Amino acid sequence: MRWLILLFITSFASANHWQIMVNADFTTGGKQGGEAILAGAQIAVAEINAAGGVLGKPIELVVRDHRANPARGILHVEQASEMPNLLAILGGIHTPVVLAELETIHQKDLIYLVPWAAGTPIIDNGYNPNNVFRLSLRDEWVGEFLVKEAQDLGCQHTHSMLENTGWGRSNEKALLQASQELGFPLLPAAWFNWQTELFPQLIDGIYEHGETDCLFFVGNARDAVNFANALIAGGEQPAVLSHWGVVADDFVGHLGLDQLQRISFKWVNTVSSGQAKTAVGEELLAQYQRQYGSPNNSYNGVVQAYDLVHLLTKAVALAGDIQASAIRDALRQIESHQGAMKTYSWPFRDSNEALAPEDLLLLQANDNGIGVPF
Amino acid sequence: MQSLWRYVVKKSLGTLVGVSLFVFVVLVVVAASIQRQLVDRQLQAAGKSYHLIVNEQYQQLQERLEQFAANAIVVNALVDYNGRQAYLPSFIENLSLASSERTPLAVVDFRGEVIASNNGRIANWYPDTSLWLDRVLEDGQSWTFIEDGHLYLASPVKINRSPEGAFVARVSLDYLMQQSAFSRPDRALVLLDDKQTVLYSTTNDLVLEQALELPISGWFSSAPQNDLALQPVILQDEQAIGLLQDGFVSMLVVSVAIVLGVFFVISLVTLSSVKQLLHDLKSAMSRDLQTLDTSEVITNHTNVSELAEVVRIFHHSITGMRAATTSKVEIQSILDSLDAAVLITDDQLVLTSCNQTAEELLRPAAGSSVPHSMGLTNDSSLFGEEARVEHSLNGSTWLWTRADKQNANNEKSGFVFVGTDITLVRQAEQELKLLKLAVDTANNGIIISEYSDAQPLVFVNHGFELITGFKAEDVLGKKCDFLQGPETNTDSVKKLANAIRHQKAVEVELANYRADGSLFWNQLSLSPVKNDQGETTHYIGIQSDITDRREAEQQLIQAMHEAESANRLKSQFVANMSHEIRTPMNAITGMAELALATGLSSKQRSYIEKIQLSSEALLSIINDILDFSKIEANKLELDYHPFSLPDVLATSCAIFGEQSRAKGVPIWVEANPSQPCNFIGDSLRIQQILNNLLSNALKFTESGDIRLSVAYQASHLELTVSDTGIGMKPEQLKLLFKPFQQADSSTSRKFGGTGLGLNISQRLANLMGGNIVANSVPGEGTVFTLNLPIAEDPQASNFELPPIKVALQMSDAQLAEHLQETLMSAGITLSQDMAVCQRVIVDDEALAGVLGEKALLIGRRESDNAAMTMPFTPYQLIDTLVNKAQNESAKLGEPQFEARILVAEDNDINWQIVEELLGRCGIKPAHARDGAQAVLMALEQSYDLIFMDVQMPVKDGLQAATEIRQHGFEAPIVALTANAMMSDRQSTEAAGMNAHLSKPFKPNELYELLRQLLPHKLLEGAYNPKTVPEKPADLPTAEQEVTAEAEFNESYALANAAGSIDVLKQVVAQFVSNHADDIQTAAAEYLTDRDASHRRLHTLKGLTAMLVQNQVTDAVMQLEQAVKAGEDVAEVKFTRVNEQLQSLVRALKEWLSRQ
Repeated sequence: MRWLILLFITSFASANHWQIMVNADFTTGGKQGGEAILAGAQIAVAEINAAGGVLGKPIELVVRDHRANPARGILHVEQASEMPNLLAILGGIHTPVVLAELETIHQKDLIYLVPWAAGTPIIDNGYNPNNVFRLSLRDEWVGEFLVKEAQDLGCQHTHSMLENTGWGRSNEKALLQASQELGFPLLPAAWFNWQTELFPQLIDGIYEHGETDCLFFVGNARDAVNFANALIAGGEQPAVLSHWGVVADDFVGHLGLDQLQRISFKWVNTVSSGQAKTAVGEELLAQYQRQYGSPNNSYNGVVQAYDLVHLLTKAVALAGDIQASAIRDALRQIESHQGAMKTYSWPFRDSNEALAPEDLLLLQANDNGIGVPF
Repeated sequence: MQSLWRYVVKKSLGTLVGVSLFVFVVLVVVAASIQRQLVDRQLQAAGKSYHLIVNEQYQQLQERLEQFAANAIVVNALVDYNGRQAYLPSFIENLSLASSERTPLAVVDFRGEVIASNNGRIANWYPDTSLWLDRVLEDGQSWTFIEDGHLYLASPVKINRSPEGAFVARVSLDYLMQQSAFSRPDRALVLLDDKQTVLYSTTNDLVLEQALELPISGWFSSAPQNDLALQPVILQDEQAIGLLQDGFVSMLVVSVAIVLGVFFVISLVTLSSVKQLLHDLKSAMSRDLQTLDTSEVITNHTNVSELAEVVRIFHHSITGMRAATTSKVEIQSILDSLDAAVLITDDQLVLTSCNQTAEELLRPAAGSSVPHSMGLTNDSSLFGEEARVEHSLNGSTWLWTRADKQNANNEKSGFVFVGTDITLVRQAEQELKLLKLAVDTANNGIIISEYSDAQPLVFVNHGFELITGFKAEDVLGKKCDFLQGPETNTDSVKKLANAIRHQKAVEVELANYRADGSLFWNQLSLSPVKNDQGETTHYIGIQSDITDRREAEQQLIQAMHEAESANRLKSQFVANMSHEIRTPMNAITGMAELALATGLSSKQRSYIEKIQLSSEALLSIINDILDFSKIEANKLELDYHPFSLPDVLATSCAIFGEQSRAKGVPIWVEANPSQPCNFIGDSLRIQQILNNLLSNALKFTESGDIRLSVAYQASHLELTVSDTGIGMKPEQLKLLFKPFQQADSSTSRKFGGTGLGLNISQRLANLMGGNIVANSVPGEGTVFTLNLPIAEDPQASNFELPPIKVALQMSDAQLAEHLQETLMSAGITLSQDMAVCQRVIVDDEALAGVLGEKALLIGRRESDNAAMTMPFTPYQLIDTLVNKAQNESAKLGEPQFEARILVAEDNDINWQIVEELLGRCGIKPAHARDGAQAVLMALEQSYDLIFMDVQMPVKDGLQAATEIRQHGFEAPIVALTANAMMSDRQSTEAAGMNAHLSKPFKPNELYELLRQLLPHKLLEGAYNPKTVPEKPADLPTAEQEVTAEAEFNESYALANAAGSIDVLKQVVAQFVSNHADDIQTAAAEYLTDRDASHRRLHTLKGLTAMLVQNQVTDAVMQLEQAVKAGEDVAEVKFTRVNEQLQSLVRALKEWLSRQ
């Protein structure tokens, strides 16, 4: 991946191109998700450039690897602010990184598009005007969705296992809120640190509260693998309902399908890999397969980034200008858009969220390890 | 008396004062030097252990910082950008890198910017990022640095494998250095870096600003260890050990007073002073050495108090941390992961919490009393002022310490107990003691030297002292080459030096010198001792005194040399004897051969035949002895070459044929001609074994038969000789292959022989990689099997099998059966119908005559008409069937050549033999009497071939041949030699000779050689007619007297034989061999079967009439008539006719012998 980064850095100063910075994780826990975002953006940019670009110039991507490190993310935002032809930053995967960047984004008045990162405060960030636009899940919706699912499963004793970051806290809030609204009792959450080795003890701690039938998991792929292994080793196996952090990297591959199939493990997402939701989606899938082969479990990143880049271009064209305020206003004026996720109607008029709770899916790995609705 | 006293005083006072002054100056200097050496040795040892301690401490600091950096709380804090303020400062506030002091710590981001720190004044201590950022945050490696009395450390914090932040710390070098065991006022401690720059010093008096020159004047120092970044050096103040110098003046005054006062005992006083001084020094030394006891070092560095401190800090942090973070599991897990047992009590010693190790060790009930749980009483030293105790729990030794527990307000709120398992430490101490005991009591010398340029000895054991006579105190610190001296073997010294240079282990035998100057042989085995980094620090050597063994070896080598030379002499003697005997033997056998070819009376013939037989027997004994001695001397060399097994078998048949026929014990040769029969091997030795086996079989078989069978399979040849002889008992079988043994001592009297034959055969077989196996049943016979691994000759093709049809018309059923089996194994078609066959094998001469050329007459006994006589090999049979190998030369006489041949031979008799034999081939050889003459003659005339005796006067054959060849002579040269050694053959080849005739040789060997070497000189079809024996001139022979009574008219008989003398000879031979007993047989038949008797007499009458026309014919005819008429014929009548017939048979035999 590093050669790719270098490649884009060398074309950095091109004055004849508009630029979009892709600021994602290409190294650590969200590597596969970062690559999906980049692929979706590349396909969209290729289409746009083939159609003559926007405002008379083609678009190029400048890729930055924040390695899940918010400090790096902030640095990249600062670097983006130095780029005169920048349209927007396409960034995300890890909520803590985006949350950390918010201040700089608004300080530098940059348009920040989030194709992947679900933390509720990313959009509900208190900034006005709000420069962050998202085409991704929102923890609030996910909390409600997961609690309903546990309710449907008839779970009586539901715990949560949350990562000890802003993302975990965003989800704790969402789950508690849904629990109150739906009258579904939640037992105390267990918290874990990134790269902890204490999952066995944490799970034992949960079991000490008595019987456990459902377990919400919020964390990334690498911790999810350790968590699942500890769960399997621990004997009792509650049904796991997981946030989509598990598919930010190759969770199924690292855990092993055999091991995964020993537990009930479902996760939320917006698309099922390899299943197009619209006609545009079908074309995107075909193009993706031509360029990158079979889609993996992080394919949602492709679709979300693709639609978001097209929406951005549409807004730039509408605005006829690349000033953040102009793009921000134009985004709100987009009436409809034929996307790969869905056909959007007024995607950003009422809020900065292009998606809605109805776009959520619950997936489970099939025999090939690919998440499919069940 | 008084005057004598004065006289002596006056006379010697000056001298005595001088002497005493001198003695004391020397004493003081010596003592000071010894003292310095002691101090120096102590310093070196202390420096070394201190070096280890400091570097271990240093390593521990690095490891602890890496553990901090790997903590999940820290990793999480990097990601949890907005949330970390809630817990990261609290976490870092409660961490301590070094137990006894508060070390500044910071967590920084990927650009080295501080995220959290336990020390607000970052700028005061934070290391310059340019020094470490790349290494830690780009390469992801840990970093350390020493400057201004501080050790700086940094370790990366990694998300997955990517360095995204770091832990940075600074530790005072006081912490690193002051953990040491000693704090003596007369010593100072400095720390150097690898460029010898002073990083740190414990003494303010010592101004060591810049690079330190070691040793520093006024100080002793331990040697710096050059292999690590941190090089602690201990300095010893020279002033502090200067007591001898300080007391010097007063000592001098006192001693002079003593000298003046009691000068006559001055020598005694001096002596006792010296003794006292030495004694003092020795005890001082042993005290000093004892203080360096390893157990003290170990105890001092059991970091129990430090652990307690760490635990205290963690415990202290628990409260704050619980509030700050939800991950209390993390904290408990850190406590649980400690190997040490940690118990926390209230101030009444009631347990409030404990970690995993304590739980498993003590299983304390919540709220229980800690002394009770530990199995201690309340008055134990652990709970008293000492605050520590060592006691045994579950078979392990535990060291417990107690520390006060403080609450957030720094008030004492209880106790923290920390227990460490020191079982291994105690065990190691015990093992160290045992090891020391073992080393001290070993008989071998054990030495340890430092691996440095000077290679000083740092340890020698008691065994070393015993072996070398040197005392440990005399040699420690020296390089151990003081053991070497003028006779030390330099090769071993070089080998040693080389191994040490390459840090390898080595074992040598060295001539060393003891303390008393005597030489001893030292078997020294040196091995490098390496530290954890794989660097050689010491060499350990183990010595053995092998002087006795060396001497024994030398004696043995001497004895071996002597034995070898004796053996060489013996071999030489045997070879010489062989030559000396063979040369005259050649004359004897050669002359006997020639004599037999002249006309001899049967008595003379019989005598000479006996001479020939005896000489051959003698020769075979000599050959046996020669072989035996060659084998014994390991000198027998095998001569591998391609050979034909059929030839070997045929030779054996030829050799033993006559004896077999004479004894009436047939030899049946069984082989499958379709199998490979051309091999690579030493055919002469195989022949020799085979002949030995056949000769034994014939010797010990009186009736029955002998079978020689050949089997070949997969590079393995098996020759079996079985007989129906007297056989052997098992105990005789056991001794069979032993030299000089025969079945029993009576055997040798009865059968003769040296008893060497089978031993030689067996050893030959072994030399060829095979063996001989014997099986026997007494009275039934013996089977010998020669097994040989053998290679097929890749150049030769198999024996050719002709596509012919053969019929058998035999009256000899056994022979017929043998022939049938042989032919069938060869795939030759057998048929009953003679008309369709190319060959008919018969054993009846008459039938052979009828069948003409188609017939092949085979007999058990020799006869002129027989194409083959037993024994024969299957190969010979087939060759004969296709007319291949009729030995025409043998039938027709010697081959004729037209060739010029030179014979160089100094021995007249041998010359005569060669001349005669060559003469028979139509060659008149030239004769040279010595080598020089041979050279001259060879150059004057061109010869087609030269026979060259090897041992000749003036110039021997080898030299002569070499010279002749040098002059361009190209024709063959054949060596004539009595030497049968392989080496001789090689030297004749080297001299340019083509072939080799070993004396004594047989005429046929010579002819065969001529045929091979001179094929172009052979006159085709010309054979020398058989030499007609000259009738002895005088003395009538005994046979002539006997034959006078019978008459045989040759001319009458010749007329009946178509005028052919050959036909007549055949008929007569047939008559003699087949019909001589006819009358006797007919007489026997007459009693049972008169018709048979008549038929026999009738045939006999016809045959007799063909040969003679006289009274014998008449007598047979009358008898026949009488039997035919049915008359009663008296037995006496048969007897009388038989007498006449026998008379005729004798006459016929006599005639035959003249043909």
